[in-house]
Amino acid sequence: MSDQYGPLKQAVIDGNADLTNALVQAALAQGAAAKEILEGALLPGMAVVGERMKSGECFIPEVLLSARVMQGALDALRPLLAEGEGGGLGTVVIGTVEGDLHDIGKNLVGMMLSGAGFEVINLGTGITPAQFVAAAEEHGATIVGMSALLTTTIPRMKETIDALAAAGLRDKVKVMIGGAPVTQAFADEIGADGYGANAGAAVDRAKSLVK
Amino acid sequence: MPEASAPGRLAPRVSMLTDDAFVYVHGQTLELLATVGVRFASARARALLREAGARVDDDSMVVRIPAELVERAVASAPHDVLLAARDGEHDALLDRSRTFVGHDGMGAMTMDHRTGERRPSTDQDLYEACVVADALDELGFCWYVATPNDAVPAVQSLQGIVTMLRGSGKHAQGDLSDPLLVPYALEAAAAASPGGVWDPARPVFSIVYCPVSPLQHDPEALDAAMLLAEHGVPIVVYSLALAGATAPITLAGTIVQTNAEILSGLVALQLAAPGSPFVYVGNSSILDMKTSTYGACGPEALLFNLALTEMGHRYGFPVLSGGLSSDAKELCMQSGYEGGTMALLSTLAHADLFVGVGMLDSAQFLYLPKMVLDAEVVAQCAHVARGVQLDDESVMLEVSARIGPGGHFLGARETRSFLRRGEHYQLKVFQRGSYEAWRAQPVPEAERATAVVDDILATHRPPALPVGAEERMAAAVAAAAEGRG
Repeated sequence: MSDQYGPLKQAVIDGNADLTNALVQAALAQGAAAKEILEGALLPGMAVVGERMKSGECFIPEVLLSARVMQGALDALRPLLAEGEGGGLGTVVIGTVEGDLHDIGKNLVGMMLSGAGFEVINLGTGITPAQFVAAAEEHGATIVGMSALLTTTIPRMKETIDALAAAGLRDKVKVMIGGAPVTQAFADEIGADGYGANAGAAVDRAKSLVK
Repeated sequence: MPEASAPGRLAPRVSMLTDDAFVYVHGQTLELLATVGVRFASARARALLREAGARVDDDSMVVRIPAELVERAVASAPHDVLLAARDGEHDALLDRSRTFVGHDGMGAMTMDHRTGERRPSTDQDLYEACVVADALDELGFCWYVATPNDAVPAVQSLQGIVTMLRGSGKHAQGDLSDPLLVPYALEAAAAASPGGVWDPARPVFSIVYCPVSPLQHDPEALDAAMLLAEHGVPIVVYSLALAGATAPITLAGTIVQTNAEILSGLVALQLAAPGSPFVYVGNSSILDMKTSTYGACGPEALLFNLALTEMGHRYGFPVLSGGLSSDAKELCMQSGYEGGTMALLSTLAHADLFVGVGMLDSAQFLYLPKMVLDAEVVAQCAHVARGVQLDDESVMLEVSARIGPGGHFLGARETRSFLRRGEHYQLKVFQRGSYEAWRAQPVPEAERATAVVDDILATHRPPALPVGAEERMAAAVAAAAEGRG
């Protein structure tokens, strides 16, 4: 399988959208199943990119480029995938809490989660607890991710966790938090399930939460 | 060779902007402001800008600012700014003649020097950092170096200002991004001021206001800054662009965007309060493209610092620059190099203020012993900036003639006299001496610095506040907490 899909996997690693799309179409034309292309080439390609990011071999923009290429290919495959085969990792609803406009970290995590095979709903900035709850319900979220940079806004994270509980969603979703003032101790204190000190760690943690 | 007269004092100075470079950066900045524009989420700021002739799109909140408005704001801000000290002795007058140094900020964590534990910072941590700053001559003002996480969240920044004013007689430069807190902050500052009255001519506190890159202004923070400016509180505009993430990857693009963000803030502030005191921040940073973390230091930061510090000065503004920060997680060669080089360059660029004392991990955590080591670096930088006195007395030809070839200068009275006048810098915590002497009693640098911190905290008391000030400040915080709760 690896030989057959080697060029496609490499195209994902290289972040080459045109070649990736062409190879996906060629594989489909030859009768390959969408699930096979996804699991044989796209996800393994992204796994290599993830490893290279961890070892410092590639830059964040290169990771994002591969993630975008992977998303493009996935969009083409999605109609052909059976229920539950769409990357398989679930849906993440992600946003920056109310009162905070600083969202570069959250966007980075969102893009990298997409590349890892999650469906990501990026709500943007200034998201209230009620908006997180509504989006989690609407999209059937597996994970709710919150970010904050300002120490004055991180209390909104606990309020969102409380709101998820009040809506009866707390045992259905995992909660992840991130941002410069956030620590594992803070995550533990407010009852979040996961925290990543950087974007790569957040993706690893998200994967482990849905296993 | 013609005979030259003695030049007097030779003071080193670093510079990288030519006249053409300044004009080019300014021109690119004006184009960015006029064509791309800046998002002002504050309705008040948009109304002021519209009235002044800017093109405002209320749906996107983006304001395109014409060059003429920028030039008017640049002309309206004062060139000299007083950061008054409540003790009356440590005023920082920013007039390009001196460099004043403050803490780093604003961190959510403290590395407790008593336990070695890294934990969320407290009000007591901020207080102690200000007491140490009060005791160290090398520090000229206090910055919001640690967030009081144990205070009511909605009034943390107000509590920070109060604690800084309590902990030190020097000027307090804090954060206040909630307009509803403004009256309480002014009341607290009034209580700490001589006579218990707020004096706009002698502001004992100032505020750091940060645009949100790229090209945005937070509504509440800007509203608070405009209100404070109307009361004479100096506003320091600090754009925190990250090259490659919230600004272009290139240094040039980030320099222009940073300049644009600062000037757009200046325009709003000068429209709200014409002639109000303003400080330009000559500093920017990068996103580390391998770890996805904020990179406060390194070659890029040094170049941002130099270029932007000079931009600010060319406009005629007082400038706050980067200094002793480090991305290192511990006291080590990296922390010494990163902090020391930027501190020296900021000193030699004649920054009016620079910050960075006392923190590690890209301004993530406070470590009090680092304040003592940083103070030593500041003192050495100041000694370099003082330069070389070049005249007949200092060249000492007469003494050389008296001693002659083969003699020595140790016994000359001029040697003693110049030493007493500070011709040579004298180490404080750093060490020289023989290896054997050090080996006999090796005390690590951090331990020596910790001993100084412990001594200061045990013996130093900040100047007394006016009678009743403690109660008034506590009442202001309590009232704010009730109002914001």
